This record gives sequence, C-alpha cells and structure tokens, in this order.
Amino acid sequence: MTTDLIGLGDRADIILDIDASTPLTDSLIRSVAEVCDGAEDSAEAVVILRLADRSLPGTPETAWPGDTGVHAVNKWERVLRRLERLPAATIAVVQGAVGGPALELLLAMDYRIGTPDVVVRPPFLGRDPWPGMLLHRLSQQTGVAAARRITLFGSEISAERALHTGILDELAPADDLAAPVAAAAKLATGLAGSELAIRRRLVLDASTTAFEESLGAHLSACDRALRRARTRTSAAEGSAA
Amino acid sequence: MMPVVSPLPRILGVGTATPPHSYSQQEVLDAFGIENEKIVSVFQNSAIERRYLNLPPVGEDGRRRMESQGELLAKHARWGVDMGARALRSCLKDIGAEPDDIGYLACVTTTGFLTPGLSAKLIKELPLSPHTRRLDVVGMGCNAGLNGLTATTAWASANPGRLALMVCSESCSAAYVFDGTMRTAVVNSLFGDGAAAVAVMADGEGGGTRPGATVLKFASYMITEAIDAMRYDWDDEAGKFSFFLDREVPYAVGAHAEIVIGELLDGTGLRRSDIAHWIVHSGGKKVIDSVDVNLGLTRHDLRHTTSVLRDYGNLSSGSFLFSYQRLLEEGVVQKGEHGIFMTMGPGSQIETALVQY
Repeated sequence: MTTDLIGLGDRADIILDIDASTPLTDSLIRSVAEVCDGAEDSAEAVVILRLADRSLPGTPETAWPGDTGVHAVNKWERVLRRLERLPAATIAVVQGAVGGPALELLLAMDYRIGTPDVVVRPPFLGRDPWPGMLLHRLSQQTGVAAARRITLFGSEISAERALHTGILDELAPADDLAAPVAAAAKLATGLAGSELAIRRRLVLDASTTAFEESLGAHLSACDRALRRARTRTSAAEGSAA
Repeated sequence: MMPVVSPLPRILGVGTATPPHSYSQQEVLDAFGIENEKIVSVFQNSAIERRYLNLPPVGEDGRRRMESQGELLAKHARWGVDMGARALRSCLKDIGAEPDDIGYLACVTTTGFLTPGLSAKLIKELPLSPHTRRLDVVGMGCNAGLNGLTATTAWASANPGRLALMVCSESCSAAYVFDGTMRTAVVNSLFGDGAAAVAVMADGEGGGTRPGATVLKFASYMITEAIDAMRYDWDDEAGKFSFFLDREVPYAVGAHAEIVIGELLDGTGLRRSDIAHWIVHSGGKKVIDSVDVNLGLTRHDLRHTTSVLRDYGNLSSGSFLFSYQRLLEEGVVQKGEHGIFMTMGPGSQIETALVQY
C-alpha cells in the first residue's frame, strides 16, 4: 500500500493503491485516514483509489475482516464514513476480484470504474456473510431485493451485473484505464469539494429521510448556493469595474 | 524568567432545572384558543414535542388571560431565582460541593431586567457566601451562555483551585406577547423555560477522573449586517418587550458557521473531522438544519441538539448545557476527545468554545 501525491492537471490528486486481499489491519485504516487527511487539507483534490486483488493465483481467499476485534471494525467503519463525507470527489478503479476491503471502499466512492474481469464477491468470515455496514450501503444503493440476492448466499456478481445494479458506474478495458479515470477526474474539475460533499450527503440521506424532514437541509444548501453565486457575481463585477 | 502559564479551566459538573409543568404544542394552542391555520402550522412543524412553561393565569372566560409587563417581570424574577437555585444545587450535588465552596457566580438571563440582578438574589436565596464575586450577563440572548462561560473560565484560571459557577436561567414564558401576529407566533411556538448551571475550576483540583471538559479556546463572530435580525425590544402597541426573529436568521447563521469554526480551530492542529462531539444550541429546526449542512455534520452529531429541542424547545442561553448533560449521561465520551460548543443569538452572534474531554 502506498500513498502518492501526483499532479494531474493543476490539482494535487491523492492516489491510494489497496490490495483487495488484505485483512482489516491498523495499517489499512491508517492509509485510508491519511487519504482523508490529504483531501480535507487540500481545496480541490480528487481522490483516486485503485483496488486490485494482488494475491497470487491459487492462494486461498482471505477471510474479511480476518482475525480482528469489534473495536477495529468500528474504527474501519468510521474511516469509511469519513471517506463518504470527504470534501473532495472520490473515484475508484477496481480490477479482478472485489471482496472485503475493496467492496467496502468501492461502495463509499462517488464514481466507480471497473474492468470487464471484475467479479464482486461479498465478503464471508468462515461460512457466514460479513454483516458490516456494507450491507447497509448495498441495500441503500442497489435496493433491498438486489442486496438480498447478492449478500445472503454469497453469489458472485459479474462486471456487467455490477454495472446494472449500480455497484459500478462504468466498464473500461484493463489496458486503457487511464482515459476513463482522467475523464472522471476532469468532470470533477472546478467542483468545490465542500459543495460536492453537501450534495452527496443530501443524496445519501434521501432514501432514509422523509420529504418534510429533508426540506430544511435542502433549503439551507440552496441558500448557500445562492450566496456563493451572488459572491461570484459581485466579484466578477468588481474585477470588471 | 519562566513565562506564567494560567492553569486550564475544567467544567467539573452540570445541573439543570425546569418549572413543574410541561405542555405539548397542541396543549399550548388549546390553552390560548389559537385556531389560525398558519399559526397552528408553525407550532406543529417546530420539531418540538413538549416545553416547560409557566402559562398565564386563567381569566373569567376560561382562557389564559394577557399578563401585564409588570406581571411578566415578576414571573421572570420568581422563576429565574427558583429554577436558577435548583439548577445550581443540582450542579453542586453533581460534583459533591457545598454552596460555601463557590467563589464566583455568573448569572445569565435575557427574559427580564432586574436590579439587583439574579446573582444577588441567588446569593441571598441559597445562601452563598457574602464574599462571592458576581457577574450578571443580561440581555445577550441565546448565545450568552458562552459569553458567560468566557468570564467564568477566566475567573477560574485566575483563581486556581477555587470554584466558579455559571447559571443560565431563562423564564421564556415571561417574554411572551400574544397578539395574534406571525411575529409573536413564531416566538411563542419556540421558547421554553429552563435553567442550567456549570461548575468550573482550574488546575484539576476536585476534577479527578470525572468526565468533564477542559476549556481550551473561544472564538466569536458577529454578523454585523444582521444586527436587527434578532432582537428583544419594546413594542409600543403591546406595551411590552417583544422578541423578533427575522426569517433570514437561520440562513445567516449557517452561512457564517464555517468562518467562526475555522477561527476556533486555527492554530490548534485540529481538523473539523477531528471534533468528536458537537454541542450546538437548540435554536430551532431551521437553524439546526442550516448549521448541519454548512458544517457538514451528521444527524448523529446533532442528536442532543435535536432531542433537547424536541423535549424542551429553545431554552435560550442554557440550551447547550442541557445537550452537554445528555452527552455526558450517554457515557460515550472518551478521554482526550475534542468537542465544540456553539451558540447563536442576537447580534447576530455566533459564539464557540473548543473543549477537550
């Protein structure tokens, strides 16, 4: 796992490679937390997570989360939640088997690109499906019926089906991943991270919050948008004068 | 020469009190015979279930009658002292201290004007030592709990090992005008009566391992262009003081929340995401939503803010201490975690404090 800061265009992008076969460790949590630190400290960063299974062919599949305790699980869930609330656009690129940490991270991202060889495997610990918050995210994002089919009996999901259920947003060939990542990053260019975070949150809350209860939050976001637009207009008029 | 470092003040305990009777929003509407649909809707969409109030006496027609300004001031004096004394005793009990231990008393209120003020009346009522240093913060509104805490923690830092108390006592039912207008309906649907007290001491003496917050820093921001947006001023037609809340207030507060939190965290090495516990004044549903969205908080972050609003309404200056008490009772606070207190009121003003548990 390495965290690199590379310049893509005129922004500092934050890229993290995660081995999708890793168990839940402090070092995994720390790497995601460092990504969050970087994104919160930079005004317009785009976060890119590259998630690929680097285990050698033939090695037995790692059980997720592995031999750990519930307090580490809680820390992991908190860092995922932090990722999901980041003031930055977040893009995931997945290849091959998407289980354990890769699926948990994938479901917390804004835009998800996968290669055609992607196989989504909801994680198991021993014989039992892992009951972490990924079940909540899957149900919210794909609907209860799809989440039930996907999670309860450990069926594998092909790239095509992942695309149709909304787990992935786009398929791209493995030898040409740079182009769709750059295109997605370009879409995020100029979007203020803080503003994106507000919209993401309104969208995520929508399925669990009644209309009347949501209205106040949306009106507050609208007021904020109107104030920003007014500030931009008066700044433009000021510089034109 | 070694620089002199003031010991950090710690909040050792908290106590709260209310009047004996609470009413649902519908019960308040019924008590005053309010049927105007718009006003009923304001009451019912307030995110408030119950409020403790001292309603006016019942008149000859069986309905609650109007109270004169004199009666309202008497209500403020009576209940301000009654609730304030009970909150103070409850706080002393919380920390195992006696009235004689108190070296400093700050009283905060906006629901009436008294000379001598609540601090004098409480010193006589409890009684406290005649040597008690005292301060009355009057008329600063819902943000004033943190203005009072600034003075209280400063005294505690200057007098290590000595106990300072702050009491916020707000008898909001002494600040009501019933004239059938939307102006007063919004106010009357929102505020409740209650008092809260906190005990503060510097250098940890008596603090021990009890959960409590060390107060690290304060930051303030006044939205000068919104100076008239919240005010409690004389209404000549009603012949009473009347509270006014501009409908822009929630949005103006939300729009400036990031500025003051940025100032509060500046130089501390803390990010907003490092704040584990947010104690935000239960100002009303709209202002809570606006602070929530603009600071990127979660419903969980504001659970005590919304539950105190639901169970008590807006208690003005002491509201945030009711939330603080709920947070401590929850037992989830871990030693070393950071928290922020945030209150907002007339100015328009936002007051904040950074604490470490």
